[in-house]
Amino acid sequence: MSVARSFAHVCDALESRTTLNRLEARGTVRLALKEAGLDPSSVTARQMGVVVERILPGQLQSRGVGDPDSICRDLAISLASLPSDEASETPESVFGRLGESSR
Amino acid sequence: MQWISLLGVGIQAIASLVVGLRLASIARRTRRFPELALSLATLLGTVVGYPLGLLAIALERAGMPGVAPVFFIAASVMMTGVSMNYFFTWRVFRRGAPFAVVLCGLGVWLLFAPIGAVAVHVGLYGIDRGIQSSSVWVALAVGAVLGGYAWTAFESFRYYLTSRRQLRLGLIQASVSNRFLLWSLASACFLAIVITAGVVVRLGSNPLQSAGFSLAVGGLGLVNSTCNVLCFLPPQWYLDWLGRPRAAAGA
Repeated sequence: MSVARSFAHVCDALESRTTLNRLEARGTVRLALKEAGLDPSSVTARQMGVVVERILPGQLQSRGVGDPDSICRDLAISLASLPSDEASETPESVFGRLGESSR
Repeated sequence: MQWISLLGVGIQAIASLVVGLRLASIARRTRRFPELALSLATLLGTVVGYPLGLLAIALERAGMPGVAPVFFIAASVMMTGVSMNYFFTWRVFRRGAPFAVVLCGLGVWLLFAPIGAVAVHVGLYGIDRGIQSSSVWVALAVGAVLGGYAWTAFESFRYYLTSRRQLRLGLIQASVSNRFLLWSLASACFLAIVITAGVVVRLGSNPLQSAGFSLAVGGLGLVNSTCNVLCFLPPQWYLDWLGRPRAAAGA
């Protein structure tokens, strides 16, 4: 299954900045996304930014990663510079359109 | 009791017409497939197909010709509407999943394959006896309809549960999360109608001429209409209510 650019970006950054290996980094991010109700294949940079700020620090701390807040802060900043990937058609975007401007 | 079914069917037809036209206008503006599929699913089943089915019965009762062709058109229109449901669920909820392509293809094939055979039986024996004598074909079509609505209800409800987690993080609007639930409920109503139709057929009656089925269609039609309107034409008070913290938590 292909993964979203923001997912790959965060996994690569975690792999390089922490002691987590590739499998551990991807598993950690997948768990964080699952907790947020998001899919690795369609998560956008904006959504990933929220996950990185609100959920990932706790996940990293539980895996013994040092200074998770600082790592996640840097990750959130780097995510903001990623090109927009909002164009993908997700169920959320479809159902968002279906009820819009009905008043 | 008859007036409840007539009221339910009437309200459902009007609600489906309004919602279907609304979705068609969104589809015209966005040029996106999901909107088009939903508008066709809404309009073809309840607004066009079901009344055509009733017309076929009326023709038969009046002893007029054209029962089988009208029945064939009614069934084709209704099945086209249900097939749009399959396409919508595949494209929106399971776009990249190979099993969804197979399920969608199989479902659509099973929807259309039996129509000709059933119509021939209806032409030979009339609507009631024709449906009974082609029970295998009818069972296949009913199974496909059942599968379509069950799949839609399941996928939408699954997304509703997922969206509740997104809602807690502010990643989705409460109204959008609620829309998954409403669409799941609306599909579940059709599912219940089809199950009732299946039971009626098993009991040896024509669903379109059964009082019990008409009552079920009426009641479920009212629920379906309410869900459709709140989903696609939500009034401001409903959106305001969803926007409140307690409502959003349970949206």
